[in-house]
Amino acid sequence: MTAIEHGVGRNDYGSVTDRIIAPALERRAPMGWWPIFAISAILALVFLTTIGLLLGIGVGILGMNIPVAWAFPIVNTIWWIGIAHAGTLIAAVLFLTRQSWRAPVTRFAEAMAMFAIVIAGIFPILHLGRPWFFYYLLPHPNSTGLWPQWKSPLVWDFFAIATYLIFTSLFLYLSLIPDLASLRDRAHGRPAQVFYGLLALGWRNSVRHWRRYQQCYFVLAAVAAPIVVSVTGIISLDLAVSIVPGYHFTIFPPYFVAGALFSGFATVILIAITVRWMFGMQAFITPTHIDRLAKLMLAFGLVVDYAYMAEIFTAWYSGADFYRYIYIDRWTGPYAPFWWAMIVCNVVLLQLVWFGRVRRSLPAMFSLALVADLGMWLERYQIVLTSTHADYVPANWDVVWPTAADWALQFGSIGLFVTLLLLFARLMPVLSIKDMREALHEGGR
Amino acid sequence: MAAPPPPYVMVAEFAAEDGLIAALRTLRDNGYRRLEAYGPVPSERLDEALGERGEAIPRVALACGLTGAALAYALQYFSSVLDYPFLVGGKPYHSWPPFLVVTFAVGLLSTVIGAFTAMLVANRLPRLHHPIFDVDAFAGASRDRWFLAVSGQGARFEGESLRLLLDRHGPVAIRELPR
Repeated sequence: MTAIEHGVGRNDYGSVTDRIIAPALERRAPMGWWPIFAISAILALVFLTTIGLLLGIGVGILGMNIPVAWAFPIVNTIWWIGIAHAGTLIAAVLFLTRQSWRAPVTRFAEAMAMFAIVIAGIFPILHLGRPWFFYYLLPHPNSTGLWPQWKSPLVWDFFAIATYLIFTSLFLYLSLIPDLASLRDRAHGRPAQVFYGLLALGWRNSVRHWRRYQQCYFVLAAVAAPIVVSVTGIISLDLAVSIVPGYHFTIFPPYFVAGALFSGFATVILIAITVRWMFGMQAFITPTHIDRLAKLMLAFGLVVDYAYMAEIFTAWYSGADFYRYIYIDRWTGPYAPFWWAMIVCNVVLLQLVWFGRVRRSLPAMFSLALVADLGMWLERYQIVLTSTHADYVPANWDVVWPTAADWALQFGSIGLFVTLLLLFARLMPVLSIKDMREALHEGGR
Repeated sequence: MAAPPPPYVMVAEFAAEDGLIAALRTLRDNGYRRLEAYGPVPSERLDEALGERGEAIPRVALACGLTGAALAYALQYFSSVLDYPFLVGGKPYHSWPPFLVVTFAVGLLSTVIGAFTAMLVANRLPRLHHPIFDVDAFAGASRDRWFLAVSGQGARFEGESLRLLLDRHGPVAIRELPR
């Protein structure tokens, strides 16, 4: 593998460190940072305001009803968790498989995972009738003597998301510690030195420390693989364990994980192209990286396409009227435009990624990544909504449409995500200095 | 708390890893044992030169993971079989297959927390200061420089002998520290 493929070019330890640290210590924001931050911060405020309204007024401001008791908050939970997954996969599984091209993309992939999981964790709490009682899911001593219902997928969900949240924050922080020490040693001015110094925990690059650090990193990376496949898998059980037609498919866990990674890789591509442009990282993030991420996106996208076919086949082969009707309803019912739009995004347009020229064109991949994220949102939408809106009792059938509050939470959550990423990128190294140095180290001293 | 770190008598700065490795080997061959090395990147060759072999962190992590998983299972068993048996959907009180989900999640979580905590405790971090930070130019260790610190007392650490050994491997600078 050449130095270009590593994304380190003609750099050495010193120049890699200086070039990655520069934007974090620079006082002036890079080009384009303020306009994007202004828009995303306004959306983030909309998100917080809507949460305030939701707590004050109640879940009635959202569109969900009976029979569609799970609507947009659940769509968003699954969507955001999926986005988080690729970040973990890139940082951990590509580390275990010694893919050294991953070095320039790991840091913001981990940060993306961190902020996506925070937002994913907010949504299921919001759609509870009384969100302030969400801690009932945690086994704790209480005056009623009650325990969580361990056979309920909702309790599993809580444990899966909480595990993933703690794992992601520790993994991100672990990878940041040596980089924070580099920032501490180079920061100008007392406040910055104290800030990075405290966060670096007194890291001093001792060889003995590095050895234990690597062991710890290895353990976390090894645990990441089962976490990636189990968290979305467990969330899919919320649906699959029920007997609702359209939810009750055995293919759900792998299907959800593939969909998660598909949308996650799309989001990594979006962030990679943005970081490359905004922070001038053209030397490190090359079209080769986008090409590899695009191949991974294509691979998981094709698994998702296979799952669509398997689901349709299962519905037909089951011979059960309600299962067959789910598909007739998805194709021709009130939500049919969403289903067909999903097919255009995730099946038709995805095929463009087969072409090398498309994969190496940054504008094309930026657009296709947006399309993939949209397609995966539509997929979660049609899974969650079309199934319960028409179940076994036709008298109960009803449709649900998003309200203004749903849209405010939808776009507000994207705004919060972008805001957090932009703040992170201004305070922390956007590329992992440690991983870049390791790529140099492996590539020959 | 941990004993205070031994005072360093001499710190050598190298521009490349190879110089540091050679110097480490020479010093170890000459009977110097209390050595500490610093560098910008983890390196297995350096671990070897320093004689580091332990694999403690993964073992601690495994033990934590298994303990956490066992406790999670025990809590589910205790709460749904012994403390508050409650019949749901005709399923047995001790429904081991659904119990495995939380057991698995908590097992992974305990592994992660165990590994991270073990790393910090074994490295004696966090700490606010360390004598090595007083060395001039030590900030280079977090950029592209490699450092070798020797500590100890006695005749072998006095005078020129140690300095000559270090000098053989082309250090950028050698600093004798006051003790």
